[in-house]
Amino acid sequence: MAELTRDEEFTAFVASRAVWLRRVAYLLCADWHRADDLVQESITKLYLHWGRVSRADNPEGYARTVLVNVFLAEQRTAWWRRSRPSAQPPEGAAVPEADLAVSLDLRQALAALPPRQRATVVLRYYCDLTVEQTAAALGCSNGNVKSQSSRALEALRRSAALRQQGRSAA
Amino acid sequence: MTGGWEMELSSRLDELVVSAEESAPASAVDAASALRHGRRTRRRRAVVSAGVAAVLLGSVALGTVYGSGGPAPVGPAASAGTDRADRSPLAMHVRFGWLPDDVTTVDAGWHHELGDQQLATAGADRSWLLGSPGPLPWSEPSRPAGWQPEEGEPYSERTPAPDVNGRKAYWVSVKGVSALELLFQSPDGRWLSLRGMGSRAPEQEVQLRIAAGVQVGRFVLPVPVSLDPSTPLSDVVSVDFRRTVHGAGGWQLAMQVSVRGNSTVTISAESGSLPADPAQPWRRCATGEGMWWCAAPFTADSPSGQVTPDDVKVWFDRLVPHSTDERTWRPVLLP
Repeated sequence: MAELTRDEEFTAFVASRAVWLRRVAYLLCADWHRADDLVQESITKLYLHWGRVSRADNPEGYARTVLVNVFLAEQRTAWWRRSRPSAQPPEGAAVPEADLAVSLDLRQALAALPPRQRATVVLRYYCDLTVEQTAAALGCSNGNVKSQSSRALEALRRSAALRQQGRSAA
Repeated sequence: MTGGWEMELSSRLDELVVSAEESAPASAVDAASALRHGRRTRRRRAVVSAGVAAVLLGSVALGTVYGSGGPAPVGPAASAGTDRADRSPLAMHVRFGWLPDDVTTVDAGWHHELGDQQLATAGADRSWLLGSPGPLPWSEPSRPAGWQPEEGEPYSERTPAPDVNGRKAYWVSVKGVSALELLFQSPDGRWLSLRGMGSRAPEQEVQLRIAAGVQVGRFVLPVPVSLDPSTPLSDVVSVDFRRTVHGAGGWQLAMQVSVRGNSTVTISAESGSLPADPAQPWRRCATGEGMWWCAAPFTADSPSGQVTPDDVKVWFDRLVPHSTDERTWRPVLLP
């Protein structure tokens, strides 16, 4: 009984959060297939800890933390992925040209960030976490989050400015 | 960095996801697959790398009611060193003493490969796992001269910790992972491990205080449902028992037992009323004395061909319920 109740709770949680987790994962890795893999691995880990997760005050936060750690762990083990640009334009439906340019710019600039800076940006500016919450999710100090954020924002802004200059020149 | 730029970045990230989603492939995320993999993992190996024992992942374990703040026993200990006690898997070699006030449950568990461990869980997603350490980090991993971790790259690190009760102790941390292990020596010289876990940075002072209160000995835990004394200890895969720390005194008990060495039956018992569960036709349950107890195939919704209804009945018939009155409880499994 306890087993099935836990499974039902887990399944309902995944059903309600999978889209959101997938979006976060996509921002981390810039690839939908890898995003699916990251989410799949994360929810498997969540299931293993489900007794604790379901009792946590903030299961979403727990899931988000697991996802980010899975992503960072993958960066450690699959070192070769870091040496290759991961952001290839997706295939499929057409996207308005102006939106596509903005999206590709940001996605490529995001993908160029070191993994931990990228995770910091996603947590701070997509998940809207505070510095303290981001530090907790990443297991680092507030100061580290601030420095990572600062570097990442500077890189993103510089990238955006360069691209804007390039377009203007063209 | 201006606040305006940061707001713009948030907005752009939203737009990026929305835009990219329009051309994204269908999601391949599959909760059922996670369930299957999770179950297999739980069955085969009992720990995650961070050190949480599967005996505790099973979610039900043996613990105790602690008084607020002060040292407290895990439960009435049976006389140590007897044949009966030696046959009880839940004979803990350590137990918590002092715990923070916000600890809500204490789990104690035993796994046939891992031995015994205990887990104290507090609010705000904090927990502490107590047990024997893995391989001791007496030396740092071999690294080339001048090695430096890449920015953000996790790596383990051992540093001296303040003495615990006058004995040596070390912190073992993994950068980038919010778990901090404290290795400390017990009075008999054995090393113990107390791992602080959670999504926020562990508090070292709290962890040191918990370690200082740990008691070492042999503490046999009585439980509300036992097994028939004829049960071979070798059939028991794991036992988990959880009790709430403050208040009502709820408890959950779970055991996994081996069927012919290649399948598993799960035994569950809990205080309160048996929840309806029509999706488990193979389960056998009973209620009484303010509690319920069940036996079921490990894979609850799809019994494996290796566990028959007769197997479930055999194990169910071995259950010996006592009552919610702790005075009637017996050392788990093999009284």
